[in-house]
Amino acid sequence: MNLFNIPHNELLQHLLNGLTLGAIYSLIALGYTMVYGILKFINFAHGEILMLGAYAGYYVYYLICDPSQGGSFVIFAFIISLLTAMVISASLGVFIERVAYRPLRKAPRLAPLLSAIGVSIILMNLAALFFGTKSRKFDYPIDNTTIQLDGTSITPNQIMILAVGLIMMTALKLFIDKSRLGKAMRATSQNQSVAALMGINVNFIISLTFAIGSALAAVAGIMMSLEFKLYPTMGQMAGLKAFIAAVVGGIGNISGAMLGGILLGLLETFGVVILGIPQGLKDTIAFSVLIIILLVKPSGLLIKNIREKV
Amino acid sequence: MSNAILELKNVHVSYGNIEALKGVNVTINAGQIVCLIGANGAGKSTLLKSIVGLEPLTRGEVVFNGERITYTGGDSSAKKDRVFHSTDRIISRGISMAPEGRGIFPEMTVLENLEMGAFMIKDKALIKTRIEEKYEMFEILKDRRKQLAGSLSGGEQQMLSIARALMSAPRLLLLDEPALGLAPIIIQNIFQTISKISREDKVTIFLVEQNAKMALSISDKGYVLETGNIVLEDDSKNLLENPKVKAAYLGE
Repeated sequence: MNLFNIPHNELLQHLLNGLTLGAIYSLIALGYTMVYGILKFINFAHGEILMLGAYAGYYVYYLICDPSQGGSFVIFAFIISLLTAMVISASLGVFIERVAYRPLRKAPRLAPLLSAIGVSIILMNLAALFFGTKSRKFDYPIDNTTIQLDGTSITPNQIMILAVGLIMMTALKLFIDKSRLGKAMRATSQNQSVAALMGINVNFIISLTFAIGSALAAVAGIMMSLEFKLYPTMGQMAGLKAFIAAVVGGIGNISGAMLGGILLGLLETFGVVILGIPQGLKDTIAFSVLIIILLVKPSGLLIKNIREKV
Repeated sequence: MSNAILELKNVHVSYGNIEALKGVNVTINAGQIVCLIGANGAGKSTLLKSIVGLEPLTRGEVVFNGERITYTGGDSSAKKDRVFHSTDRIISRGISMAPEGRGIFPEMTVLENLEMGAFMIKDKALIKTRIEEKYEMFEILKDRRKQLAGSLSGGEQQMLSIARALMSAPRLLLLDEPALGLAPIIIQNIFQTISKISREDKVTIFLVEQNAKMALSISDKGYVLETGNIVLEDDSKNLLENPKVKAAYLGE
C-alpha cells in the first residue's frame, strides 16, 4: 500500500495515533537529553523512574478514589495522583544521582553508565517483588468513549495525552529559554567550571535537571498506563525508544528530543501502515531508524556545529 | 594592618605525583594591578584555579579579605581544621574570574552571557543597569547583544569574558591570559581596557599573562613563576629593568 492510496480520514487517523505515541516518547526523551546535556552520560535508569512514577500515581489514584464511580472527584483525584507521581519520581531521580552517579563523576565514563544499568535492574526487580508481575490497567478518569469526526476516531484519552504533552513541553521550553535557572542549566551544560565561576551551584543544577527529567517521565508513565498497561518492565522498551528519539533529534538538544519523539511516533505508526511491517515487528522500526541516523547524521537532526573560535 | 585583599600562603597543588605548585606565596594589595608572568606549564593557570576552588590544594592557605577561604595542612593535618568551599561559594564573596580560553558560553547570546555573570544578583533593575554600563564600556557588545557568543571573534569574546566577570561588581578580578591568541592591536586594546577598569571601577586585578612586557607595563607589582616556584617578586617597573626578566621574558 502506498501513502496516496490511503483515504484521507484514515491518514488523519494514523497521524493522530502517531502524534499521541510521539508525545509520550518526547516526554521521556527530554529526560535523557537533559541529563546528557549536563553530564554527558546516558541515564539508563530513566525508564525505571518512569515505571515507578506510574506505580506511585496508580496507588495514590486508587487510594483516594474509586474510578468506576466517575464524576469530577475522580478527575480531581487523577490530577492529585499525577502531581504526586511527579514529585515522587523527581525525588527518586535526585536520589539516584546522589548515590549512584555523583560519587562516580570523576571516574571513567563507562563507570556511571554501568552504575545506571545496575540501578535499572535493581529497580525493575524491586518493582516486580513488591507490585507483582501482572500488568494492571489504569482506569480512565474521564469517559473514554470514542469521538467520531468525519470518519476519524479520537478518544478523549488521546486528546488528554496530546494536551498534557503540549503543555509540559511548552512550559519546559519557556523555563529553559527564559528563566534564570533555565539559563543556568544551559550554561552548566556548555561549560561546568565556568558556570561555577558565575556563582552557579553546579550540583544544585544537576539535581534540578534530574528532578525535571524524572517528573516528565512520571507524566509519560501515567499516560502510557492509561493508553496501554502498567507493569514492572514497562520502562524498558519505552526508555530505549525514547533514547533513540533523543539521539535522532540530537542528544543534548531539548527541541531535538521533542522533534525526535514525535518523528519516531509517526514513523512507527506509518511504518506499519505503509511499509506493511507486521505489528509484531513494529519495534524494529525504531532500531532501524537509530542505525540509519548513526550512519547518516550521527550528531542528530538538530545539532548545529558551532565551532568555538580560539 | 596591611591592606592585602588576597594572600596565598605556601600553596601546593599536585596532579598525581607531579607537583604543579611547590609552596607559592603571593600577596595582592587592594586597588592594585598585580601580574604573574611565566612560561607555558609554569603553573600560572593552576594558581588562579586554586584561588577559586577549581583546583584543590594539597597544602596551603588562601585568605581573601581577611577570611580564610581555603586551608589544608596536608595529609598529616586533622580533617576538622580544613577549610574548603565550592567555587560558587568563593565567587559569592566577591571574586570574579575571566578564565583561560575566555570560557564564554558559545550557544548563548552575548546578553545571556552577561546575565550569567550577574547570576548571584536577584535585583533585576540592578542587572539592567550593570548591563547598560558594560555596553557603554564595550560598545561592540551592544551591537552584538543578540548574537550567539560563539560567533564572535576572539577579541570580542575576550571583551565579553571580561565584561561578564565584571557583572557581579567583584572586589577582585582574576584574568587568565587575556591576550592569548589575539592580534597585537587587539592585545593593546585589551590591556588599555584592563587599566581603565582598575582606574575607574576600583577593582583589584590579578593578571596572569605570558605577554610579560604588556603585563608589566600596566601593573603595579609582578611575580615570576617558574616550574611551580615564585622566583622573583618586585614592583613591575623594577622587573622591567631586571636583567634576568629581560633575558628570559622580554626577549632583550
